Amino acid sequence: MQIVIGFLVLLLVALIGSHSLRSFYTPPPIIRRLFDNGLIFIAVGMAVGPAGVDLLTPDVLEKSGPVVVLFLGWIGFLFGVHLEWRRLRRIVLPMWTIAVGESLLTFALVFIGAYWFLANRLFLGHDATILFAAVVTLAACAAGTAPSSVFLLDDRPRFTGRIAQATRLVGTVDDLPGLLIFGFFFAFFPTYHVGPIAWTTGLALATLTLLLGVLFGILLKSVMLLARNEQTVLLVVLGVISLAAGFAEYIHLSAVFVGTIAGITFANLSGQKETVYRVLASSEQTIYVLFLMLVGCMWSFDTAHLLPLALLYLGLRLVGKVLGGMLGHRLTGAPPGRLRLGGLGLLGQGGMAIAMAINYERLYQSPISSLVVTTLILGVVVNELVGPSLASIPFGRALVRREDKP
Amino acid sequence: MRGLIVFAILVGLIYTVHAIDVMNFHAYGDEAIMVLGFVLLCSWLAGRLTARLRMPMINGYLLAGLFFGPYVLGALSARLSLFSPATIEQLSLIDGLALGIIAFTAGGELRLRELRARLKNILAVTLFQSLIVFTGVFGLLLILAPHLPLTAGRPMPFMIAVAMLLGMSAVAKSPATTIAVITEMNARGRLTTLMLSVTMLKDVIVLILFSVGVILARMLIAPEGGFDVHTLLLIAWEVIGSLLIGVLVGLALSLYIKYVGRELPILVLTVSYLATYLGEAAHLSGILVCMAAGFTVENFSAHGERLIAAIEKYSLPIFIVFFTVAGAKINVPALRAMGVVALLLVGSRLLFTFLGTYVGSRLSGGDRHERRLGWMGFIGQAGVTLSLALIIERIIPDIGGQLSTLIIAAIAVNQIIGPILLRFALVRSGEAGAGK
Repeated sequence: MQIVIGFLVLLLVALIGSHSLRSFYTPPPIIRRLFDNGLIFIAVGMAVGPAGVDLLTPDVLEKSGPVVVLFLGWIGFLFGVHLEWRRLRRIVLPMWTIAVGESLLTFALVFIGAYWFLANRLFLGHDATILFAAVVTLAACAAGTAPSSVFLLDDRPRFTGRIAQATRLVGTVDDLPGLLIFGFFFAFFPTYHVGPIAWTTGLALATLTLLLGVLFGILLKSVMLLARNEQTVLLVVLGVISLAAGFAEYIHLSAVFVGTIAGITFANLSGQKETVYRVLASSEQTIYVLFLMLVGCMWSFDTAHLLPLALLYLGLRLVGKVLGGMLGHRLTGAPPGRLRLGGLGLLGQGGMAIAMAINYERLYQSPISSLVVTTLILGVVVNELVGPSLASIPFGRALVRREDKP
Repeated sequence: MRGLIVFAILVGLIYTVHAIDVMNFHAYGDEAIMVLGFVLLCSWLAGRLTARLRMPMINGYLLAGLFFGPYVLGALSARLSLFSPATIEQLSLIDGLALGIIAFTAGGELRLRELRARLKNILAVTLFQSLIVFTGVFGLLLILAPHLPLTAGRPMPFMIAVAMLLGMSAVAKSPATTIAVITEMNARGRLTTLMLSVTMLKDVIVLILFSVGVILARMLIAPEGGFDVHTLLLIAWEVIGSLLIGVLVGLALSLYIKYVGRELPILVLTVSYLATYLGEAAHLSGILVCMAAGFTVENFSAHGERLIAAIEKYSLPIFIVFFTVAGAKINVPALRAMGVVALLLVGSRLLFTFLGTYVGSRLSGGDRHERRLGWMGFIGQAGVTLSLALIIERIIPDIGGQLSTLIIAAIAVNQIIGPILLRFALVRSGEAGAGK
C-alpha cells in the first residue's frame, strides 16, 4: 500500500510543484525543456527511488510492475492510434523511403556499434539471447524520433517545403520499423528459453503477437459502440488496453508492440478514433508523468560502463540521423546548404523509446539490462536537451518561444 | 446482443490464453493487468445486462466477480477461477480508493440546508432503525439460542455475547452499495437524502456500537479481562478525530480548488488513499474523514460541483473493480454451511430494518415513500460487517470461526438483494433519474 500512497503523494507534489514553480520563476532554456517535455519527473523519480533517498524501495517498485505494464500498453496504443492509413497513403513513395531508410540506417549503425561494444566488453558468457535483446532494444530505441520534438520545429525559419514535410512524416512513423523488429524479437527469442527456439515456433508466436494486437483493436471497435459517455469511453479504452498489455505480459510478448498494433487496427477500422483520442489525451499527462516517475525510480548510475556505452549510443544515433537526413535531402531535392543536416532535427526522443526500454527490462532482466536501460534513458534526456539547439544548425533559431505542457 | 457477443469473446479469449501452455515451459508472467482488463470489460457488460433486467449495475459486477471467482467456477476447478488469492490481493488495493471516493461523493451529496430542514426525521430514522434492528435480532437470537447449534448447551453470558455480536452485525450496512446505486440511478429527492444521511450517521453509530459491543462481549465471555477504558477513548478519537480532520481536509481542498485548481482527480484520489490508509494507522476512520471532507467542500465553499465532477471522471472503473472483487469474495461455501441460520438472520434483519425505518419515519413525520420504501436502502452489507466477522473470530476463538462464517453467509445474501431493493425503492419513489 505504501507504494500507492507514496507514489500519489509524490506525483501530486511533483505536478503542483512544477506548475507553481513555473508560475513565478522562468528557468533557463535548458531546464525549461526538461519541464516542457516532462523529463523533470524522471529526476523526481530518481530522487525518491533506490538511487536517491530510497523512499520507493526496489520491493515497492517490483510491486508496481502491473501498473508499468498498463502504461506500456497505453503508450503503444497512443502511438498506434496516430497511424491512420487514410492519411498515410497520401504520402508519396520517396517520403516513405526517407522515413524507413533513416530509421533502418540508424537502427543498423547502433545495432553494430552496440553489439561490438557489449560483445567485446561485457558479454561474459551469457546466453546469446540476452546480448541480442540488449542490442536490439538499443537500436530500436535509437531508430525512432519523438513526434512532439518535430512539431516544435514549426517555428524555425528554414523549416519549410518538402524537407519539413519529410521531417514531419519521419517523426510520425520512424518509430515503427524499430518497434516491429523489437516486437518480433520477443517472439523469436523468448526470455524463458535458453538459446534460439525453432523458427516455426517463433513464427507462430510472432503471428500470435500480431493477431493479439489486431484482435484487441477490433474488440475496442466493437465495445466502443456500446460506450455512451466520456466515463464509459475511458472505461472501455482502459479495459481493452489493460487486456492487451496484460495478455502480452502473460505470455512474455511485448506489451508496447501489442498496444501499438491494437491502436493501428482501431484507428483504421473505427470511426470513433477522435472520441477515443480525446479521452486518451485528457488522461495522457497524468499517465505519462506517473510513468516517467517510475522510470526515474528504476534509473541507476551504478555501472562503470555507462559512460562509454552512452557516448557510443549517442554518437552512432547522431550519425544515423544525420545520414538519414542527407538521404532525405537528396530525395526531396531540397536546396543545398545547411538543410543537408536536416537529420539534426530528428534527435528528440520521447515516451516510445522509454517504453521500449522498460518493456525490455521487464522481460530480459540480466546483469546488463540495467546498463542498457540507464543508457537509453540518459540518451533520451541528452537528446531532448541538445536536440533543439542542434536543430538550429539546419533550420535556424526559433522565432517564438513555446510553452508546452509535458 | 452485441454486448453478449463481446462478453462471450472475452470469456473465450481469457480461458484460451489460460489454457495455452506457452512452449511447455509454464513460464507465465504476471496476470494482474490481464485480469484487470477482463474485470473492467466483462463486469461492465454484466452490469449492462443486469440493468436490462431492471437490477442495479452493481449486481452485475458482483455476480461477475462471484461467477469467475474462487467459489463458483473456481470450485469446479482451480484453473477456472480468474481470481487467484494473489490477484485478489493486488486488485484489492483499489478498495481504499473506492471507499474514499464513495465517502467523498456521499459527503458532497449532502446539503446542509436540506439536512437542517429534516434533522428530526433523519435522527429519528437512524436511531429507531439502529435500536430496533439491534434489539430485535438480539432478542430473537437470545430466545432461539438454546436451540441453535452454535450456542446450544452454553452458559447464558455466552449466549448473550453471541446474540449481541450478531445483533451488531445486523445494524451494519454497506455505505458503498447505497452510494454506488444512488449514483448509478442519478437519484435525488427526499428519500435519497434520507438514505444518504442515515447511511452517514449509521456509519458513526456502527463504529461506536462495534467497539463497545466487542468490549462487552469480551467481558461476558472472559470476565477476568475487566473493562477496557483505553478502547473507549480510542472510539471517541476515531469518531471526533475523523470528523475534525475531515473538516480540515475539506477546507484545505476548498482552498486548493480556489487557488490552484489543477490535477483535481489526482488530488482527490490521493486524499482518498491517504485518508483510508494513513487514517487506519492513526486510528481514524477513513470513510468518516472523506465524508466530512466532501461535506465541507460542498457546504462551506463554492466548489462542491467541481469536486464531484473530478471524482466522477474516474469513479466508474474504480467502482467496477471494487464490486467485482467484492463479488469474488462472496463466500458461497459459508452460505451453504450456515444456510438456515443465515437465512433466519437475513430475514429477521429485513423485518426489523423495515420496522425501525417505519417507526422512525412515522414518529418524525416522514412521507409515505419514506415509511414504506425507506428500509430498502439499508440492506446491502459488505466490508464493515466483514471486518466485524473477523474481529469476532479473534475474540471468541472457541466458536468465532463458525460465527464469522454465519455473518459472511448473511453478507452474501444481503449484498445481492440489497442493491436490488434499493433500486426498486428509488424507481418506485420516482427519485431515480431526478438528479440528471
